[in-house]
Amino acid sequence: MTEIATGARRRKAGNALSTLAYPGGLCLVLLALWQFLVPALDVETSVLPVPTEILSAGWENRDLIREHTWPTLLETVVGFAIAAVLGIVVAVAITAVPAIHKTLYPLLVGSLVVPKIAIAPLFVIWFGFGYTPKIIMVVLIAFFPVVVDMALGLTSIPPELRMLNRSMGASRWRAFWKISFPFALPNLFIGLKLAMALAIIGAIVAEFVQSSQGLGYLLLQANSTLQTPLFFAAIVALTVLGVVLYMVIELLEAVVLRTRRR
Amino acid sequence: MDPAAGLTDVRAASPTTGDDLVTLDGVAKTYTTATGTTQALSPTSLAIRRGEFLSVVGPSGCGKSTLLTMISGLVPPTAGEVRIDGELVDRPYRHCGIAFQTSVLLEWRSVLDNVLLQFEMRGIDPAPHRDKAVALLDSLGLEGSSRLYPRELSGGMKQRVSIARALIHDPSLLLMDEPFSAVDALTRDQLSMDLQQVCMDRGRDLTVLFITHHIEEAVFLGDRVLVMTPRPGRIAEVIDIDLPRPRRLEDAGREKQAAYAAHIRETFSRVGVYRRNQHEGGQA
Repeated sequence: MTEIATGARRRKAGNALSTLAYPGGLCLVLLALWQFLVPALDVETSVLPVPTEILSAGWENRDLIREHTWPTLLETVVGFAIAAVLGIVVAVAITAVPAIHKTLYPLLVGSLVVPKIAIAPLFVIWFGFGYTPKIIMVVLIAFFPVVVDMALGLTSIPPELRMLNRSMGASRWRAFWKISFPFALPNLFIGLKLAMALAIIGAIVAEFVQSSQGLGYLLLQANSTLQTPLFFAAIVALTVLGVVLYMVIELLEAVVLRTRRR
Repeated sequence: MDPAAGLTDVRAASPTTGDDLVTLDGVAKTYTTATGTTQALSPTSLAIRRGEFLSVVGPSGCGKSTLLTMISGLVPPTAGEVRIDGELVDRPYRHCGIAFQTSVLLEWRSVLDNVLLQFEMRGIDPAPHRDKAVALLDSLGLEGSSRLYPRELSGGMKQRVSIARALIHDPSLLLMDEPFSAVDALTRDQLSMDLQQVCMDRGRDLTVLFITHHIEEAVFLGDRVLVMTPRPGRIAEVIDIDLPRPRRLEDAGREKQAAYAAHIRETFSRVGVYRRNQHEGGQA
């Protein structure tokens, strides 16, 4: 038993190493190619800076980047949280009440097709220049995967479990909290991870449309002043932000679903 | 047993003695779908005696599971009525335990907590029942497994947990819908023997309705075996299995158990469960 366990642990550690080492190795190779090919082909810095230039631009402007990361982080996290709660509530409503499902679901799917980016300028007219229009954009973009995946989880409860549920005479409330909600959690997390990735896109797009701060604003500024190394450094900051937020959800998922089959 | 007996009159299968736990009177089920109506179960009258183990065998789609869900009150019959202890079943009957073909355990709960779910869902504090649940798990061959999670269990172990969950609240009626059909043959044998023991321990306090495709299993476990016809299902025959307990699974292929099984196959053949091969002779 212990031999099997340590063997499994070693294999797991090996897997973890290769999951980090393989893509990491590829990135290093690509960065090295980038670093040497760009001067070799005589490309200007304002067109494509080399990785070391991006790194030093990022370091020199670290306070500026940090200052502009906070608003974007705030918009993303607040918008995501609202989208998550709203998405769960709507999913529960449409799966619990057939009439709501019939009324709301076609509209939801219809509004999924509406290009929300196209209506972003309208939000400035409606909600002004502050955080509100950005957060609303994030909510609109991040909301759908939560609804769809949570609803899928709630409807995929096997019929035997539903029957068992009813034979135990549980109230709907108790059945929901003890069975339906935990049952749908793996699906919910799929939706949440997708929502988090989309939330950042929503924040940046909203900042592109109108803003005086945030990484989206910094990107536009760097672009219009031909500070291409700074532009790339802001992209790196944005990527790091996205990866960290995504990993927070993954970590939460690993903790919540720790007892389940993977 | 009278092998010469024809289709038993359904009324004869329901003697109205005062010692019946479940009575079905003209219970039928018709499903309406987009393509029309399907009769799943012909009007059926039947009495399940208190403390007996009633096996039900029949081909797929003969309405065995429908019968079970109607007795449990989960699905209303289209016609007729089900009574348990004289009371009309018109909503899910709460004093029963149910075990299905799949164990439907909750993956986020330990074995013990899966069993105790039965209390939690009824709004009863499960804490005072923990020791009893552990003892029940032990008696079902799950010693020391109460802290494990479902993903750590084999199919047979999961099925044992599901049986424990169905029995923990001491129901008077245990409804089992092909509970052993998803496990391997040897595990199935072991589960049959263990189930016989559990039922013997509880004696008249536990009545069991056990649905299966497996003829030998039905004979081995049943005090009576109810044989059903193909759809629309009706009772072809009810056979008393007159063998002392504990029965030995080793005897399943021998003498009396085998004779009962052979008789059931004859009945199946007569009511058209088996498709006849052409070279077998032009009987039908």
